[in-house]
Amino acid sequence: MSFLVSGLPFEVAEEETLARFVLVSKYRSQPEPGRWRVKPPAFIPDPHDDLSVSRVGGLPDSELETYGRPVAETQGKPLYGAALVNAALVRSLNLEIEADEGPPRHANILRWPQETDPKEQKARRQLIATELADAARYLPIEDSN
Amino acid sequence: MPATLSLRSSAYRPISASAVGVSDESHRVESVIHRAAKSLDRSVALNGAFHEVIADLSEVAEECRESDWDGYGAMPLQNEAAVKAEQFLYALPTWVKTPEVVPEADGSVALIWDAGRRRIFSVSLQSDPRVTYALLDGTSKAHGVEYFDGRSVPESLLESIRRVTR
Repeated sequence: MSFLVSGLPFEVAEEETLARFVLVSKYRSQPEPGRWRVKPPAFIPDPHDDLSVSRVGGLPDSELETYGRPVAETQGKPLYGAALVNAALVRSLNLEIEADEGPPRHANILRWPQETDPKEQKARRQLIATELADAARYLPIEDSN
Repeated sequence: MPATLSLRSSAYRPISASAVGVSDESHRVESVIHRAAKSLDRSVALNGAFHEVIADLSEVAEECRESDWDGYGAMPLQNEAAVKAEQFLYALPTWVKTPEVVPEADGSVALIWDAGRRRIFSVSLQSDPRVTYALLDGTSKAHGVEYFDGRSVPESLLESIRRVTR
């Protein structure tokens, strides 16, 4: 087994948790106190062909900000939270995950549907993003914004 | 004060059925007025929510007009997409609960009805009349492309909204 600079194995395990850091306030809502939902557009890769995530399995929630903050600061955006999904779920939707360490723990979600009709492609990606958002756990990181 | 407000049900107290000297006809009129007032209450509430969602749309259009608004390289939100979303909102029947307005990284506007686990429906609008949708409804799911002419929401989309918000 090969390992990356972060110490994580190159292969992303089924049980790993992946975080999509949320830098847009409209990408999450709080339908009632203590219950958060992340919105499907947070998981649509457009305008790219892959979705940038961080491998945060094994980290306590309190440490996620450590990895999300640089993402937000690099882009000059506030960090609102992290949408957390399981690697096994991602693969069950016929997507692949590939480690891509420039930044530590970084990975990409690949193999999003490609169609000749851009609208059909969008619709298929929209459904996958909806599945991911529905199953995601949203962790707010609001106090330090 | 607008005349409509005076008809709100909270301001209208039905006369007791045991009141002396009140005819059956009066009771029937009273009942009709009471139902109308309750209906008006719902309209007023919906109207408020509708104005909020229109305001949200304006806010989203303003906040996302520059590229990279999401920090991951998003395209600027298309003004035509916001116009199309507004047309869609105005074309919704009054029974439809107001959706959330969410920008998308390809410059589209999504209208999302999120009623909880496995009950989500979203419509994505751009400048052209072909709108995309995705539905999760329990164990069933669907996606596709529909045509929105700017005036009339396709029945299939209304049915999906009905399914997740029922």
